[in-house]
Amino acid sequence: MGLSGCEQPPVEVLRFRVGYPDLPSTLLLYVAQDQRLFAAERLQVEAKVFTTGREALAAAIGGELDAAVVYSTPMVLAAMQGEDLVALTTLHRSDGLTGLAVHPRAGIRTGADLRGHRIGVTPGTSSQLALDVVLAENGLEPSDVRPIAGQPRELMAALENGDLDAASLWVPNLLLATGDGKAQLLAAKVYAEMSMLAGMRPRIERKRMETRRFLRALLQAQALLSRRPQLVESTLRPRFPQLDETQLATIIAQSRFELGLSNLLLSTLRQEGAWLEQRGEPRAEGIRFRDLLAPSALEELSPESVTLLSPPERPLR
Amino acid sequence: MSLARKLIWPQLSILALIAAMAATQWVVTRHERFQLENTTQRLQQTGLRIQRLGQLFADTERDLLSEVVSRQQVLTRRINNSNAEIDQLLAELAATETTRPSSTLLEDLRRLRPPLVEAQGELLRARYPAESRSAFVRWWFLDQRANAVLADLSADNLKRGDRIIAQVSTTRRRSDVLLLTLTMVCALTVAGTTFYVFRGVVAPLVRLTKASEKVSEGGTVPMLPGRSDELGALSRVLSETTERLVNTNAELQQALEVRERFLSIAAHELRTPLTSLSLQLALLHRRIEQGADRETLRSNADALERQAQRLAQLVGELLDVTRLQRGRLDLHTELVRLDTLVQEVCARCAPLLDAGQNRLTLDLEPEVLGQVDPSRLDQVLVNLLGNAARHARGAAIEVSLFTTEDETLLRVRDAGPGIPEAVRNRLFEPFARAPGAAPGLGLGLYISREIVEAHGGHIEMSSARGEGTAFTVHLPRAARVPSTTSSEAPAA
Repeated sequence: MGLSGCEQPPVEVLRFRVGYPDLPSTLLLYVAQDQRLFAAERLQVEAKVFTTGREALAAAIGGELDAAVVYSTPMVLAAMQGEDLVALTTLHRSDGLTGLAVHPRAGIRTGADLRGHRIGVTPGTSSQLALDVVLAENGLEPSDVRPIAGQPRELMAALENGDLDAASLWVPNLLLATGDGKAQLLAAKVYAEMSMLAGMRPRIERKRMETRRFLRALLQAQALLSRRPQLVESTLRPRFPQLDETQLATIIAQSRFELGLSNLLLSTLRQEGAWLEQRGEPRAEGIRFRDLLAPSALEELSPESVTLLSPPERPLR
Repeated sequence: MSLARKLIWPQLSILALIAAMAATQWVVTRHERFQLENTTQRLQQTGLRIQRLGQLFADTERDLLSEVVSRQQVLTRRINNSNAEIDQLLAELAATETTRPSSTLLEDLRRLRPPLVEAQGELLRARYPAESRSAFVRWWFLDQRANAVLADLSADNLKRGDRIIAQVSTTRRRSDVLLLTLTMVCALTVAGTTFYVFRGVVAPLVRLTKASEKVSEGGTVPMLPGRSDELGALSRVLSETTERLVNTNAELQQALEVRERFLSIAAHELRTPLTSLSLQLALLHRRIEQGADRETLRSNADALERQAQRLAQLVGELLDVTRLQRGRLDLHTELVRLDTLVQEVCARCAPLLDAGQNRLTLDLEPEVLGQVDPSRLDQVLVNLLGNAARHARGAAIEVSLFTTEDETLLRVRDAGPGIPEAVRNRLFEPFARAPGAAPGLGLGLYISREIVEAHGGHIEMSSARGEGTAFTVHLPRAARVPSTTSSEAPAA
């Protein structure tokens, strides 16, 4: 993937504040940091780690950050609440890395057995949507189970103690909670994860230059991974020492770390929006998911990374 | 370098340049056109396959939902046929689309196919509402994703089409730049070669032409320095020719001046004895009418004879000059005893020397032979003695004759005032006369020198102010006469 816009290295050092959950899906950002690609772009990145992407996004909405790494569900929920957000690029997509960890003695073998059980969930995150999809796949309604809200680590502890029959988790917690002698994995067959870099539209428009440099560093990280695939494992391993080789290999095999703005993302946002609306989440008037995508910055740097059939009606200024 | 090469080389260079440029343009254009055609063809094929995939996706969705409602087996077969065709099209696309992001999108699509087909099957097999609902949820999620990926694939293909259009535009622009560059290079080359031809051919020709126009005014055509071509040769020939022409003109001019002077002097010199002759004749007539005595008439006749002789001498000198200038001085050489010849001439010139009150001494080596024309050598000696008598009146004159190993030398030396320095250099030129000299054509020494040189010798003069003058005739030496011959030679 070639980078367009061969420019002289920028001179002035700019600052960019970004928040993210400490997850394997944040790989491109890790590589850019480790390889000093932000510094090469004369960009001083202030990174802040959050427990979930939803919290990072909340910080961005609150003005604490310029951008946040977030999965699709919190993004859709925030947009439905009328927040003026834009997604600059996806950072990864994966299949089957969000699902249910089922307690071995809960008597749950299939999704259909979930009825009436205590199931831990992190509200407003992909954990919630994944649970919904599993239930729907098995002909159940959310009201057919007893949802228990909590943060991922709290859910893991409760599951281990037997306070929960199942918990909806994402990697690495999902893989750490499951295995021999532990909880069993009950993944949604159709749920796919997508993480993205998002921020408040006015702030992104103000931080145009910073955003551009940040994206360029991420593109260089992607190119670097393409040339040196071994960097994926060598970057993730020290950050997630609790994962064994098989678990890490599973994550890597089921993930694709690529920047882009695609119809798949748009379709996912719409799909999740429709799903959440159907589940009773309020939706502000005039929300158009197409306008959540801001392809201009990425397209300027890497035209082939943007594969949207129709451009947004509210491009970045 | 020859002129022809100088003229042809630039033309050949321009032709070669144009040919090279045309070939480059042709190769570049052909290569790019070939690439564009290939890419466009592949894009079209991909577009058609994606379009067909979209149709099949839509047909399958419609047939699936219709079948779920109506339970017609024929629709299941159609769905199966569509799935087979979709898999085939995806395989075809995977074979041709090897670049990202098309390849990764196709991979996503192919990974989605098995769960999607499985979800289709579950939906078709479902008999109860709960089964149908859960199967529909799964199928709906997967089908939406597959459609989205297909849309991405289509968008990528369209974008590649845009890139092709941009590439065409770039190619055209590059071609325009190339053509413009070629045109400029050609123009510069033409300008350069024109300057080269002008400087190397036209400018020298203009210089030669301008110089040639001044030849009639006495100018010469300069040589073109540092040129070995035809123009250099031409300028060399023109330069030499015009220089010769100028020299010839100068010589002609000089000859003309000499002739004019000659005619002027000749007319003047001839008129003097003619006037005298005319007066003597008139006097003779008057004396005859007056009945003059015989002695008086003889005296008049003698004067007439002298004037006639003088006229004859002048005419003789003029004829000699004419002969000399035409190279027609005929010598009738013979072996002559020069000592005897000198004695005879000196004896004959005694009245002249007496008139000049000159005392003559002879110092003659005996029995000296020379292969000479005696009358011409006589003329030389008379001339030298006459000059001495005229310019060194009252002074002693010595005539000597002696030989060396190679030469015979005849010297006439006077003890007169000497010849002024200003005159010495042109003493042997025709019509050269010393200031205050006696009347004459000034041809004597000129004729003498020509006669001596015609004999293979030369004449030299030495003079010093107040110490006299000596003329020495150098002649090639002849064999000495045997003593018997000496006794037969005429006596002095």
